[in-house]
Amino acid sequence: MAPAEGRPAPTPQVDLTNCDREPIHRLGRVQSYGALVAVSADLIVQHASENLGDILGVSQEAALGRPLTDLIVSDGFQRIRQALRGLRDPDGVARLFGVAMQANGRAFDVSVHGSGNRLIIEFEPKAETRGRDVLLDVYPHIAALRHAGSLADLARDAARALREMSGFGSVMVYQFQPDASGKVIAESRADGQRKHLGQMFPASDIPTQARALYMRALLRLIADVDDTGSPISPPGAIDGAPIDLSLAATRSVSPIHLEYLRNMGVRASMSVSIMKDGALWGLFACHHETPRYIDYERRTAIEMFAHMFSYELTRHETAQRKVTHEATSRLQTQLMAQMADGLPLAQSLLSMSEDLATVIPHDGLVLYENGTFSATGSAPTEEEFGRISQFLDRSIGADVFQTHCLGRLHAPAREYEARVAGILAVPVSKRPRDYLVLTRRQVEASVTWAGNPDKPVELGPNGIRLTPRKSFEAWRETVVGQCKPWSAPEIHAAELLRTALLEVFLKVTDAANMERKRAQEQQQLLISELNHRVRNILNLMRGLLAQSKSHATTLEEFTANLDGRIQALARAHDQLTSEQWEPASFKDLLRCEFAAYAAGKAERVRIIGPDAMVSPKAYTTLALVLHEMATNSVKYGALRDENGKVVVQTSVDRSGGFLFDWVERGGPPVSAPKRRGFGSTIIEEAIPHELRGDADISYKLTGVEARFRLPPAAITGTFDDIPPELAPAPATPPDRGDFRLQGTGLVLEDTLIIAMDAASILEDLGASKVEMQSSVSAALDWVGTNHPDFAVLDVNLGDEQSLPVAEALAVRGVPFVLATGYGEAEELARIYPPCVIVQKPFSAASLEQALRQATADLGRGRN
Amino acid sequence: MLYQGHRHPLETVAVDNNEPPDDRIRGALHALSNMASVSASSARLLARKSDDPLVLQITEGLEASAERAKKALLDLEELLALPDRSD
Repeated sequence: MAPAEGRPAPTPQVDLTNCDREPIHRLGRVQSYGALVAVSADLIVQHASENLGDILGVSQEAALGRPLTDLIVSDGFQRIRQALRGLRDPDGVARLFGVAMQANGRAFDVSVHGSGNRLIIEFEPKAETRGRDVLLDVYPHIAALRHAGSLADLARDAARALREMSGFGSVMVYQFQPDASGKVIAESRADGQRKHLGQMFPASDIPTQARALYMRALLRLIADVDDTGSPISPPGAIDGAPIDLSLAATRSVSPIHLEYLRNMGVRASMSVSIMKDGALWGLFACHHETPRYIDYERRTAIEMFAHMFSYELTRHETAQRKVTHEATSRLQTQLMAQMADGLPLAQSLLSMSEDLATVIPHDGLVLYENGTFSATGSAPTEEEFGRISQFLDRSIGADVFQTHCLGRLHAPAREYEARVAGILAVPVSKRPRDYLVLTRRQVEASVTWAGNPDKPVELGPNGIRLTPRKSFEAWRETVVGQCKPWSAPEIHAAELLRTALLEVFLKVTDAANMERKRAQEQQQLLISELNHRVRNILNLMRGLLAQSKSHATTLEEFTANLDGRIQALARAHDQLTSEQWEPASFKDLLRCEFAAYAAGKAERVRIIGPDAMVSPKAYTTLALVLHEMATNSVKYGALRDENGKVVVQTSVDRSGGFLFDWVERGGPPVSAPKRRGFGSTIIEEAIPHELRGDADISYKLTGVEARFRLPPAAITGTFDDIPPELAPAPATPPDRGDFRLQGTGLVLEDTLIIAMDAASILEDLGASKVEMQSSVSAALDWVGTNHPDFAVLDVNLGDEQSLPVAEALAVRGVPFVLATGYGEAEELARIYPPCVIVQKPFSAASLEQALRQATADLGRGRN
Repeated sequence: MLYQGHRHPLETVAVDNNEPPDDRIRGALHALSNMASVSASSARLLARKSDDPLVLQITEGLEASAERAKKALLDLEELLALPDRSD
């Protein structure tokens, strides 16, 4: 190790801080291996070292006051001028290697840099034989650095490489510690021994200004500690200030520093700065037991090697950080997984202490969250931690805090330092602070110093004079009250952990907030929904009450009707509630109604076809309709006596609407109700009015037939049903096909036989009346005074076409079918309003199919 | 009375010889189609009105000829590949 320079204190007091104030960059001398001149801006020599004559062949006296061009050959001068053009950085140094400066052709390595308003030019006679590129020696060592594994490997390889490159007998890698002391982390010696490896050097060995200089001038060679050097004359400028030689390669050395080296048994020394992230990370300290000079070119190559070492350090640290980052990410994932399983944060963290220890070794863990203390391992008690948390609250910011000697900062901790000597505190929330604190036990460590660190200087033989220590024998110090220091990677891992924990905290908090908000919204929704339903029910009850009252003839009838309808609503409501107010089954509702009103007769009810999930809004309406239908069948219809049956056939039409045909057979003869009661109103109007669906009921003598259609908006889906539950024995199917016509039909056909045939088919399909017309005018007259429900139009009526009638029907929304003789479909589709075409000669089946489609298309168009 | 306001089923068979060939063919096809339709309709009407075996036999004959006419119409349309027209 080569501590930096100090010099005799100007005052009698032995004060180490004097070293820190020593102007070591202005000693006014150069080492003998090089000569120096300082020239003005117009290149007049203002200062020169006394050895200029020995080195350059021009005496100091002859040089002073003369232009630089008079001292060196023009080629050399031109090289210097060219080099100057590249100097842009204030701390930049131009380097020239093997340049002839005199007529005799002798080669020099030259260094040029600015110092104040002067240029400093240093000349070193070229020592090495030209012809071998120094870089060729250095490059393999640089390449080898990349293969180093750990930091120790990297430092060891670098020390060995530097020893080979420099030829120095000993090379140490010296790393600065957080307290500014230095530790030798690698050593390579020619004798193969380990002299200082692992030893500590006190911070005072390298004064502050020496560190600053190491950051500006990255390499310092002391070729011979016994060299008295050569003074620069004149020593100062006109104002008396000595020349600043901070960047001078040949700058002389403080006598104290030389004495220090002599005390170490060193005759030559070279220090190379190791920079990292703009700070002085450490030094390569090269020692030799005899004087040793290596030329400027090789020193420059070594400097470059140090740069590469710095780069590798950064790369190594980056890789290490990546590993740490991945480990921390795994921890975070693990933590989130545990919390997802329902474990509280504290429990999750405590259970992960061992996993965490693989990334950040620790002996104990404390989680202080919302005033709750949880701990595991070798940790402070809750009471002890209460004081620690107060200390942390007032002492640290939002960043990770660490100390390996808590007792020094927090006196109460000395009482339990055997248990907890150091902490790594990770703040994980805002005030009031929550902390995750990792703890380490005390480690009674012995630190080996290179000499007594408490006595870096002694009184010298010449009275009160600052003198470096003479002994560098290993000096062991037993350290108590401390734990193993938290390493930089561990601190970095803690910082990552802090980020991860903050994220976890935020997620937990967010999740809690979201849950709270969701609950509030749900509550609000429920209140609104409840309010809405209560209002609806009240309005409905009011309507039921009024209508039932107006249509009832006796109080008993009124009560029974009202009660039945309320019960129907209640059942529908129950059904919906059991489905969480989600869409509910049509068939379930129907079965429920029959179960309530046709007990014992339910087996005579058959429900055929797919089921549909009815929306809650439509469900209550549907419930009332089914209630009326069911009660009517029991009171007046098929279920009144012992033989009748009810068949409910469901289907889905092309537009997605849900159809259910209600057909009663086998009951007493049916006649249309003499008066239109509220029940009839519900049956006929409720679905069309409230759901925009369709309802059609006919009181045929053989039994009631009704068709209802729920629009797609009222259902959320249909599905094929399993066999009917209420009616194990199949009931008699309805005595007609699926498609039925109702109302009056129009047949426009100029051929009577075809017209009569069409009319017969329409009547078979259910038409109550069919009007036959043979001309457009007659048909339009009839349509003008009647309202057909459907029509069949022949396209060609001799010398006219049925288009005007088709348009009139389309305007009135009457479904119609065009009958045509041969391939005219495409043109008809272009000319006529949207319609269905049946090919002539038609059959009963093809006409029925066409009418079915026309009716459905029109219904879809209305939707 | 039967045909009051309505055309005779064979009325459209009368073809104007001065019309272009395409229109004349269409007219003929139309007439044929009408005859097929009338046959089919007649058969159904007769079947509704009477259970007489002779009538039923006539009905079957009409239906058969209507079906054959319909098939012939389709074949002719395909053969002639006439452009669509509504008249």
